[in-house]
Amino acid sequence: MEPKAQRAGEEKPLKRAEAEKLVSEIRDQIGDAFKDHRDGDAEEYFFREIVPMKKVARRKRGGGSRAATNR
Amino acid sequence: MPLQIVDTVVLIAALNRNDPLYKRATEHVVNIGLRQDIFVPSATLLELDLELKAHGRDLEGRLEDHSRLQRLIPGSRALPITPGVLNRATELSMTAATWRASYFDTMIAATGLEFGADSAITTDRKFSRLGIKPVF
Repeated sequence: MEPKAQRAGEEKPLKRAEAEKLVSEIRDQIGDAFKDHRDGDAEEYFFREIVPMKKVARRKRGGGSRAATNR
Repeated sequence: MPLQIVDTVVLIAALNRNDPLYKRATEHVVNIGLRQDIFVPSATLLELDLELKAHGRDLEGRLEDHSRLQRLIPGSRALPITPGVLNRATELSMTAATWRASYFDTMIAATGLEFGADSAITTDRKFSRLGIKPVF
């Protein structure tokens, strides 16, 4: 049986021109989204948006950090 | 063959048409699938996804981005986060990392050290303090 990655076509080697085209397509899709990119944006987003969301979800379930740990 | 790892700044530069280094960064990204010695830490991929989210890419947009990235970066070129990587990252946090070295930088450098990389493809000079030679 073929490995899953091969079935999905993930491991099929690309030619240089194909790879360059893929990068260019993503760049066009993203447009100016990264125009104001600064080092550390991802980390700031992670601790500002994702970590607090988890805390809210825990509070809604009625458990504090200890309750979540013991689950 | 010495191994190289790819930092998130290279992926972002390649995908940012406003970045003056995007052509050189694109070369590095293209080489991931073409060469046998370039690997992408899982922490790099996670940081990239968070960057896309942080800069407003919605679910449909990220689906398209990752569908293409999946072809550019084969699974065999990605390095996992293992207990050994976490151990190295913690050591770096205790010894070499400063407040300027982010969680993700530390994790990326730790992945390189754990898997025997001698350099990181990055414009970030902080990697030298974390024990990995920065090259671009």
